[in-house]
Amino acid sequence: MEIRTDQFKELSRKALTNTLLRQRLGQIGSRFSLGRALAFSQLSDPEALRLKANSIKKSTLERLDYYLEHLESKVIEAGGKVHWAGDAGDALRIVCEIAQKNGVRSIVKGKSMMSEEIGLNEVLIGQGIDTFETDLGEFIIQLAGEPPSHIVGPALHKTKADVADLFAEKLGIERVEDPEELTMIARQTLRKRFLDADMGISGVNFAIAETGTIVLFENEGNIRLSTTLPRIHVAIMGIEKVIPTLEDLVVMMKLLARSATGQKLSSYVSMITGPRRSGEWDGAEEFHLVILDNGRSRILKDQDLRETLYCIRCGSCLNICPVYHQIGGHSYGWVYSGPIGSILTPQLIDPERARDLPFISTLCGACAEVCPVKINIPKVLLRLRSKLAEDPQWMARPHRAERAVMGLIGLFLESPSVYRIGSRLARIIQIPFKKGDRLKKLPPPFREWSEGQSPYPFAKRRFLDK
Amino acid sequence: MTISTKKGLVVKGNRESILGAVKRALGNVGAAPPEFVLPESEKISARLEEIAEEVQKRKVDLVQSLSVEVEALTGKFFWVNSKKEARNCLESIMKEKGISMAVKWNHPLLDALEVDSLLESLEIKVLPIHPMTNDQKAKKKGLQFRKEIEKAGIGLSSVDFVLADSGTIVVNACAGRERSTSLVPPIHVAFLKADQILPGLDELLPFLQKELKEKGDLASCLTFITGPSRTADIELTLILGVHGPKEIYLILLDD
Repeated sequence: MEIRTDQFKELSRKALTNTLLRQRLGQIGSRFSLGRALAFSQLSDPEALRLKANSIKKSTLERLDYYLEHLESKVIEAGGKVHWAGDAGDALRIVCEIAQKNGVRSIVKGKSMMSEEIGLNEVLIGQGIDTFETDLGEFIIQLAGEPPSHIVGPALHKTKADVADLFAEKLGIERVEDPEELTMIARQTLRKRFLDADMGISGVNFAIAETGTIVLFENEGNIRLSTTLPRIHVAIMGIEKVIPTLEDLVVMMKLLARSATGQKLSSYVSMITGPRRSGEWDGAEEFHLVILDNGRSRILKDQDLRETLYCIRCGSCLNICPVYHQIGGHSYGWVYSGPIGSILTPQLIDPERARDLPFISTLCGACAEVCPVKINIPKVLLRLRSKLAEDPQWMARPHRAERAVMGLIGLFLESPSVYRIGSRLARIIQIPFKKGDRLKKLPPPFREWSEGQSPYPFAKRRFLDK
Repeated sequence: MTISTKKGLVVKGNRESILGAVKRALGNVGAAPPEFVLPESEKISARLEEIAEEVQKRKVDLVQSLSVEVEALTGKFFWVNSKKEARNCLESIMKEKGISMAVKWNHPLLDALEVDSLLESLEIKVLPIHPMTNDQKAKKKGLQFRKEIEKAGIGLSSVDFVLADSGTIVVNACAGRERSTSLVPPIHVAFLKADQILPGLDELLPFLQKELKEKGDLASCLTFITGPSRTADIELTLILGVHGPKEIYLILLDD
């Protein structure tokens, strides 16, 4: 997916003027967060469950190489094939080769953030292979040519009127606005695609090392169809998706749907182990698992940042984040939005381009309170901020103006006499900028600061002189 | 296409370099592997006995919980005491929905209920499912099946288990018990017996562990079905039956 993280200021400014979007984000946020709270309150010990999930993720990542190797051997034992991809280019090459080798002409896809990350659809379509998104939200944004705005509901930034217009235009049908009718139109359109497709592509929510099983959660049934009808199934996973055992899966199953939407369990959870067995009609003849690194092994190295990889992509941090509610998913400029986007994106792409992302936060900590695997997102944000400011490997260009100002402030605060003179001077210098009881339109480098804040002017008489 | 960063090389290519990068990042080079240990068979059996006892004791509670959960998901739940009642139930669903073609599992419970003869008497066509073999004839039949199943108005199956605390149906795919039965037709009817009801996921786990221990692996596809297919992708409006079934019926034969 195209990276637009360096346009954060523009994108967020635009989002802030979109009242409808902000209303919708508020609705989504409260609906899902309330649902989540209710679902968790019905568990006998939700905190213990979260601690267990955190500990599973921690210990798995500590021995990730071993679990990946074991996963591979079990998938192969079950008759599947395993491919390893270092980066997006490798993954794209692998999927294209599988498609070409098998004469694939059309593909149906379940929702997969990983496939967005590597830009899979464009490449496949470029190869002349019809590639259809089948999740209703993804289907809508594919038609619209837009990126997803929310992990769980990618098209929630669109009104039913938007969707009605879109379907009428792109599908050549009579315009209807009723959500049920629109959904049935999508169902009809996609039915044929499922039946004709040569290959189904999915992501992976969890991969169980003990059994060589991939686990897929959904509500619509499109992932089941994509993995049941076509003769080839390709599942793409990040290295961090592996968990050790069935017992560990049970913990995750109790947490994921409750965290994402407040459901006890998603409508469908599929546990797929290799291709179909002899005698079965349904299911793929060939099962391919693509294990992709794409920068994740680097995140493993730093023990303070490693918990970024615990994420199970539930979206509960988005649903509760007050900043996300105002600026929406597109402002984060890439696949991952909300608090998880703020910590994951700068570690996966060039931090220079994503330098604004760790600052999209008031550090209120709501995300950490809801995260089912207890990622301490504020802590990671602070660590990223300090890396961006100080770590020579991270610093793209030093923020000269900020350093100069900090240096100047240091001078003033070190010496009482300099401070006294300085504060008297400041009261004079500020005069042209006083508008009413605030300072506005300060000269650069303070310009942006005064646009976002409304700083108070220095008082006529200092407190110390009273 | 490589996403370049200033922080060092992005790992390219094969298995060894990726695993090597992971090992180095973790400082794991040369460390001994962790163990995969399933509980001992005796322990699993003991737990399964415990669960069977609990289910017996709490049967009425569990059935009530199941009923509440299924209805909350907009499904319909029927608790019948005889094969005759079960057949009547099915017959009224078929008539009410005007079904002309059905697809069904090959399953002892459906056989015991004589579903085939019931469907025949109602003049409802049944899509045959024969075990698939690798020859061309079977493959052709498979493709034909795929085209035909779209016309089926109803899918009839049994279950492997149901989970009372969430109203979840657990189905294992195998020859004669196809995944599409509970997925493609707009209505899904699942028959179950009382001893297939479990309280929840924790009680299901030892069954899966037992299967893993005895067979060495799991079925090709184990599916958890909790209510009909649903979406809220358009303005958060809840719509049922997007891609999977819109209606779901559970018929508990408790005789």
